Amino acid sequence: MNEWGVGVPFSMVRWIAILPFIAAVAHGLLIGLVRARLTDRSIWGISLSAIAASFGLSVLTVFDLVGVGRSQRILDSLGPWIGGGVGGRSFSAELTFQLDPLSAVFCLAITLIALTVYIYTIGLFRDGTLTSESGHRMFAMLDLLVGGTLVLILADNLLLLFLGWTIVGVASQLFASFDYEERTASRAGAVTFVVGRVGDLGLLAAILLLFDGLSRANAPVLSFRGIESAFRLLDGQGLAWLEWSAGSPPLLLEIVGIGLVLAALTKCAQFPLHFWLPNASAGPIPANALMQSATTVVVGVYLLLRFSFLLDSAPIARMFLVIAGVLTMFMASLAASAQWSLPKLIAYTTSSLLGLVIISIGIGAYSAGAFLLLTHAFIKAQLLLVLGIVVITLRGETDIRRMGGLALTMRWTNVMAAGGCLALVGCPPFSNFFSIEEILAFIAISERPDRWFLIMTIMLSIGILAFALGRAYFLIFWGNVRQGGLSQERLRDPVGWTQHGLTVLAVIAVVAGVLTPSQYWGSPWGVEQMDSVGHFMAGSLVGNPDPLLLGAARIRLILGLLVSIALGGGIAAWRYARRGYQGQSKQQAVLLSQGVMREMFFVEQFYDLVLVRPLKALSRWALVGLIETRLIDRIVVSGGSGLARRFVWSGLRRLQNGRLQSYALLGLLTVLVIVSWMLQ
Amino acid sequence: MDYAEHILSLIVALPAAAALVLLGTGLLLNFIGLRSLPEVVWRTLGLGVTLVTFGLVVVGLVFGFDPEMLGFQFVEVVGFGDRFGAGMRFGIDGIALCFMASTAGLVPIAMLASEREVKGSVRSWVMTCLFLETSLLGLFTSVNFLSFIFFWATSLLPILLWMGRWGGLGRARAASRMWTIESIGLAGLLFVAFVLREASLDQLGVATFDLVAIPGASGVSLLDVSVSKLDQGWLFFVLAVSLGTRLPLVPLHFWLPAAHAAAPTGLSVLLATGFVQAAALGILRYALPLFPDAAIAAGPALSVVGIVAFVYASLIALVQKELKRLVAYTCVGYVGFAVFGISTLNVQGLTGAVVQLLTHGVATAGLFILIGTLALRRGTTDVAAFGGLAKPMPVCAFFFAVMVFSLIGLPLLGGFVGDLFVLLGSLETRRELSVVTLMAMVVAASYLLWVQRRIFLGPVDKPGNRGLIDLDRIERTLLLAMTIPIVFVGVYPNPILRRVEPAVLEILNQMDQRATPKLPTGSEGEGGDEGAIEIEVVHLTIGLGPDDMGRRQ
Repeated sequence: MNEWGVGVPFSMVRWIAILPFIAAVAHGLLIGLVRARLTDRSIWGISLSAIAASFGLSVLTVFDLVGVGRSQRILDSLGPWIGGGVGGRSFSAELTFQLDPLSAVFCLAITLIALTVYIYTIGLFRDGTLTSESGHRMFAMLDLLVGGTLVLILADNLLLLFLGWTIVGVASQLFASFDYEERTASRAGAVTFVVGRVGDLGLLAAILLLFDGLSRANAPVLSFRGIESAFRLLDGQGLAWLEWSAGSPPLLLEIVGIGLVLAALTKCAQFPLHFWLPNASAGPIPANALMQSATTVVVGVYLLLRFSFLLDSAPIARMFLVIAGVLTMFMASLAASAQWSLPKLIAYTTSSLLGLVIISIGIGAYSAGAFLLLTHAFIKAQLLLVLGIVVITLRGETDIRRMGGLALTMRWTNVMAAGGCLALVGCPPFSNFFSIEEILAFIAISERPDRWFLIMTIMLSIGILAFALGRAYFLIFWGNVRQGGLSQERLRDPVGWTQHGLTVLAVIAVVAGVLTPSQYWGSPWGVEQMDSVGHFMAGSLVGNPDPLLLGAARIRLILGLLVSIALGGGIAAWRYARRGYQGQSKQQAVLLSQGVMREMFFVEQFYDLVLVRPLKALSRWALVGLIETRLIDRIVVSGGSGLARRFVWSGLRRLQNGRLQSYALLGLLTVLVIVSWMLQ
Repeated sequence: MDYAEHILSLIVALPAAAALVLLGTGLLLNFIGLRSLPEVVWRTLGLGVTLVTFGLVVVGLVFGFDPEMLGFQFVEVVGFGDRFGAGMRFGIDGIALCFMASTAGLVPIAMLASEREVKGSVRSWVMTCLFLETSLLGLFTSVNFLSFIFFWATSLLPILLWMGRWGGLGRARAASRMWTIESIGLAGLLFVAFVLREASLDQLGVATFDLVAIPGASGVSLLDVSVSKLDQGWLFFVLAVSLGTRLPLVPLHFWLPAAHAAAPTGLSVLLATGFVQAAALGILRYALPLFPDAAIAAGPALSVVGIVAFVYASLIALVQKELKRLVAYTCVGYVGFAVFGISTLNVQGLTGAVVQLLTHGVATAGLFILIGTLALRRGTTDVAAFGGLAKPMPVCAFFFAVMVFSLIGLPLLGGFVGDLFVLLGSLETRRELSVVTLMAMVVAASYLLWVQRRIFLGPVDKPGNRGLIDLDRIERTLLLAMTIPIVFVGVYPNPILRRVEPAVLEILNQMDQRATPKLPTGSEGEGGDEGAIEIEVVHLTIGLGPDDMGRRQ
């Protein structure tokens, strides 16, 4: 096809991304036009077959990719989309999908998680959570979410990436307001969209500025392969194209990087733009599981990974990443430890662990960040779905103060939830352990002056996270039975589809550690050169995939991590395992600090107070009140017409005196003027 | 008479001629003692005529148009008053083609949307619609400044009539405001026209208003008249203000919210599309090529005006409580955005502005129709009166979402293309302002989303909203007909871009030839020459011949 990519004669890459959309459109047509009454089986059948086919194609195309060589990429073009401009600024964005190691691994992971979430969702029909109407809507939106993510993952150019990005944003908004008849849900949707919009425009600004800079350097390209080779060519050829204006420092890449960072922070729910996720977590459980594991939060990080070649030369932008990541990790862990609402608690743990991913990318450990993102995705999907079972069994109860003692009747769920909580905080042998440990090793070997501060903060946050998850777990499953009004018979483990989907996820969550791009864990097993999936993926990323930290230093890190997990979990067990929820604390200071933490330091309210209200007040009082009403309506229009009435009309009125002679005179004069002018 | 040579005059004259024929038949029937034509015949025939006109535009113009050709096509002379320099000269370029197709398609939609609101005097209403269509199409096709002004004036009367006779509350005040401001604009246009006529008489010995030199007619054009820089300055100002009254450009916008609030749905549709597009076309076709030095000098100021208009209108819309006024401010906002695009004076900015006027026009028109359907059911357009309508009216909610998402500029919908091109163009010449624009777009998103949420989401808590009936067959058809172009432009914008870009190039070409210092480019004064990589960066490829056009692909 061209020097950077390989065209496979009959490429199926496009169908990975398109199939979910076909299913979504089919749902849309079935609801909107045909109004067919379908059986539950055919409703989920449409979406499940599409996503299963996507997964199958992902597997097949990975073999294609291995066949053509890992340094290559497979391109699959549907034709032109938008093109225009002339000369040095002309561009053409095609609907082209590319498959390289990075996108291949992400495609596999996303379609696999989506598949299990879909299977789980089927179970919701059985217990009446989903009806035929909401089932259509649910599956259409899930398809949209997964399809948008896959478009973004497979996008070959910047505009297609933006397309996938906005589809994910719209789908997230739709899910946040899924129960649109409730006021909180509709508000959550609006918050999600507006915050997402900030990120969209950050991304759009980054894309446009990058394209503008490249066209100034006479390389107007939009595709990733074009941009990467342009970067190689432009390297060391003068910095003029990187200047914002003449003589300014060559900061274009930093500005573009900051735009990307802004975009990524919104989608990954990072401070200070994190608050949409706890709001949106009130949506349906399968959507939550997908958004917080494999779609919405993934696209934010994937964007940074895709641009790792650019971020590598944008240290200021990466500094912002580290700051945001550290703050989010610490604050979101605290927020999680003070939550009573189960979905919000899980949402804050997502923010927190994504903060670690963001830190990892900020320090330049791209492959480690990608690795944690993937292992977190599997574990988070599993944990959310298990806790979803609890919520559904308790008929929508989300307050963990009103749960307790479920381990007695829901044994399988108990085991799954305990495993999920342990896995999430990074307990060995679950996969998150390997990825968190690897990031710590990367920080330790970096030459940063603040590396020990970072490591300490991360360990502290993980300890708090362990406390938060332990607290939730013990309150829900241990102690006394506290949920009133529900008979013990109703509290039982799920069977059928729901259980199958979860079991698959749990197995993956355990074994996903083999994805590790690091070689460190090879030596205990006697493997000298591990050719893991992570290593394969790292081929598309900048930097060394393996932190070269061995011996006692590494073991100290691992021990530190384990101690902090044990401490956090131990405190939670000591405080809650036996006694359960003991009622509100009596001390005002404790209550106050819990309230502050629960709202994550009132960031959302701060925006409302500082940004939204003043803007509305400005519009209402200054613009509408003063300019529109007073100035324009009263002074200009009324005053102008008053003046006109006074001076112009009163003069003209004299002409209307009713005497025929004066009218005739006026008419004659007019004709004379016109004729003389025409004849000149 | 070869039909193909007179296709433009045929299309322009058809609605008005049909109106006159209908009137004549009615009078004749009356005269010979029969009952006049029944209203339903007028309605049906009127709608039929607008549909035939649209068909002619599609078959004759859209398919007959050669996108590779620069300059005006289908040029024809309908001669009278040649001695005076006046006379009808018709011709269209890619921009006018798109505007014509949009307006010809929207007139039947507007008529259908207004049908239920028109009580009494259906015959005069049909005539009003048909005359309005003729004058709007005339505005797009004239390549003569005086005939442009003629249609400018004739388009005003049907609109005032429509609003004053069939409008809602406050229609008299709205119509009188509009009449005042529009008459100022008209006077300004006439003034510029006669100054130009004097100048052409002085310099060329012939009085002309033609924009293209037509061999059969005077053989010279206004472009041959040179105007000194000083004169260009104030002439451009007068022209911009006159056209700005109709656009409407902040601060000349104050008539628009009142007009939309009082206007029936169909009129709002045309006010938000054809009316605005005609004024924008005036800037593109006359103000820029005739006074290029002034346009270049005023470019930065015009950019600021456009951005201020966008931000100002968005902020006001944020606190509007009445739906029609809110969408009216949306119009003001997107017009400001389009003016910002025009003021960049480069290919992408101008192209983006044209596409933006097209797609956002259709989207706001769609919103007006949806608001009309809501008003029909609830008898009010206050935002506070609604809530939770997605439950009883899911189809309405769907179309509302499509229009709002297109206005916000989500990809795969039409609004994105225009926004993208305007931003790309502005990055070349107005980098700082484009960052401001991006920030303002967040506000635009939030107010549209706020209104969508207030109307369609949440619980159905007002008793009047229970059991509302969803859109009927006709309303669905109308909105589907408006959604299709929005989606088409978003998914596959290249056909439109391929037609608009040559026209834009031609405009910039004319400006470049007539301007004394050449058009400013992005590289000017930015030290771009020092970089070793700057291998002849073509920032603004003005003066591309037809051969070069192929390279754009």
